[in-house]
Amino acid sequence: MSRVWRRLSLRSQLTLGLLACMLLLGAAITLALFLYFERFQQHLTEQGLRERSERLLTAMVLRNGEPELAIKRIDPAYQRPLSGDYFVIRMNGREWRSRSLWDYEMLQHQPPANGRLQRLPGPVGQRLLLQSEVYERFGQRVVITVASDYAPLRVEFQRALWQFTGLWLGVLMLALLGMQVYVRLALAPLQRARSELQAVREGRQTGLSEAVPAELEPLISQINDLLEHTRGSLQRSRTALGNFGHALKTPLAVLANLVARSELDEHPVLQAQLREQVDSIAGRVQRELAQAQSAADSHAFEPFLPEQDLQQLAAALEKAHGRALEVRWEVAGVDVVGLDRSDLLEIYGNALDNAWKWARSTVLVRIAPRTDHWLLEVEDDGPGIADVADRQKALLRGARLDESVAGQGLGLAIVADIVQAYGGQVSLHRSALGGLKVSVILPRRMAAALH
Amino acid sequence: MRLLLVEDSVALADELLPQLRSEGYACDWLVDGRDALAAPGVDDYDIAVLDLGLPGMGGLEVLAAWRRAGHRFPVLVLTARDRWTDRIAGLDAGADDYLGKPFHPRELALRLRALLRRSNASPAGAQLTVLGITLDETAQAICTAAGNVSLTAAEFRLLRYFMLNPGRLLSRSQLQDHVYDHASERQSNVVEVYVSKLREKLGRDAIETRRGQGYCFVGQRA
Repeated sequence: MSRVWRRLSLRSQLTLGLLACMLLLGAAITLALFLYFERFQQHLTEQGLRERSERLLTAMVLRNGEPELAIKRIDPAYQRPLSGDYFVIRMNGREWRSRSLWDYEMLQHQPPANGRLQRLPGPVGQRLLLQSEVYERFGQRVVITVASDYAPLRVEFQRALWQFTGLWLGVLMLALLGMQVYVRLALAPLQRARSELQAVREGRQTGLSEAVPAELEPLISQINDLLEHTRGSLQRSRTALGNFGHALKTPLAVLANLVARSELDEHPVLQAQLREQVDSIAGRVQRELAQAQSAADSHAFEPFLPEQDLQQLAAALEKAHGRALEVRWEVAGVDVVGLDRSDLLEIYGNALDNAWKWARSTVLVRIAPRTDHWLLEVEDDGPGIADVADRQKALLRGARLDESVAGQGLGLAIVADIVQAYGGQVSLHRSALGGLKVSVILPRRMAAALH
Repeated sequence: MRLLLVEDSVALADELLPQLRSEGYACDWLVDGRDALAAPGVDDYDIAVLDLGLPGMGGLEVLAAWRRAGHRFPVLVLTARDRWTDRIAGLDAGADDYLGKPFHPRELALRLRALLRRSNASPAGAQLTVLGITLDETAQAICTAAGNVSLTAAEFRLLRYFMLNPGRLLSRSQLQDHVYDHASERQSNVVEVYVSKLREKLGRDAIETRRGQGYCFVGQRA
């Protein structure tokens, strides 16, 4: 039950709660009114009945020494048949009945004890309240029983009760409606916090705004603390992983050089195996580092300026490779938002490095916005990779298609790793220039301003 | 070719130095960045291999200071930090090439060779051809129509230095500095001995002697 309750929407919980409260309150008020009415009515009736008894008593007169009821002195309602006002007077074996009783036998049993009220179903659906009083008159004991029909009063009361209930339901409806609106308003800060969390996830924001209602403030500041903590530990483990990876690289470089020693030339199989293992460790370290340093799941993106950054990269490649290529730029007018500079340089750097190795004279660099992703492409006019299976292999771990060209052959595999961390895709195609085309699709995770 | 290796890992330097020497470089090795800063003022280097994570002073700072001081020799940065952002920063600071650790020994050799060729405006390729003479740097031999003429390590170093500075007047002390290690091979007549040995293999006219000044490589004129 409590689990079902907890999973109900807050709005339903509040609605149900309010409904329950209002219904209980309504029922309580109704009950209170009812009880109050009963008591009021009883009080009134008691008073009235006693007065009537006393008036009847004064209507008893002596005529010729015999007690007699003076008809003229009693209420005419007693004379109308079944009027709702009745009496029975008993005195010394004699009995006077009001004419209104007609054929109804009010006192089938003994009259109630002195002063006690009694309810009695009356004639023609009437509800009678009757009371007997005992008096002394003319030196004799007189028992006067009067009764009055309270059914009309009851009907009146019930009508009032229905009207009240109707009014109450109306109020309840209004309250529920008001609460829907209010809940929406009251939950707005939570909705805002939710969209801010999304922004944090996408790196547009570092924390949640703390300008929230007092009740939410502890929650928001806890979330902010948690974000801060997570960011800190992510950063620490990333730094630790980075340091670890970098610390491994120099000993690995020593190992790679040791393996190449001429003493081992006599054991070519052993040497090849050692080299293979060193290469495999080195490749692994390289790729893990590339991922650890990627900003894909980090919160801080360094802005990427395509024209400036890519031209800097091309200048660096031209210097490192010692040859100038014709670079065709298809990057102008692209306003890139939400991509990290360092990661994009890593993607373009590795792809262009590869292109630079193979191109005859021309490479093409493209970045283009698509509706839900970025398209990054690097093409060259080199020999390309003719075999489709080889293209797949080039993206795999540590694959190297041509041992004769310098480099670790990890470039495209590292590109694939980074792109994967962003949830994107890399594919290799045949370029219109004749060589290889590296196509990268990076999902657009946030609203980007385009021109 | 005089090469400056700045590397704080002793183990790596221990591996690299013999290899570089066997490639025909006269090597100096420094560990501390502050020492490296002053080194090109003391000796004239043809090329440097520079680690970036150095004690004393960061490699990038050293490199920038060298360039500010007007030292133009090619520098190959050898580092564990090899993201492209690091590479761009390194190349911006004045490096000519960038090699990430770990690397294959052969790759370092190839890159150094390519850098030297570039800095001397010689075309890249497996063989170095200057003024009618072709040198196979891997085999350390002269290629002729009749076949390869092999060279000793000392001859190879000297010939490569001549070939990378064709037509330039090179003094004896300059040749000593760039070709031979300080401790082992500096004797007063070592250059004369090897020049005469090279002349035996290339022909008398390939290297001219300018009295009181030094030598000039003129190659074989067709």
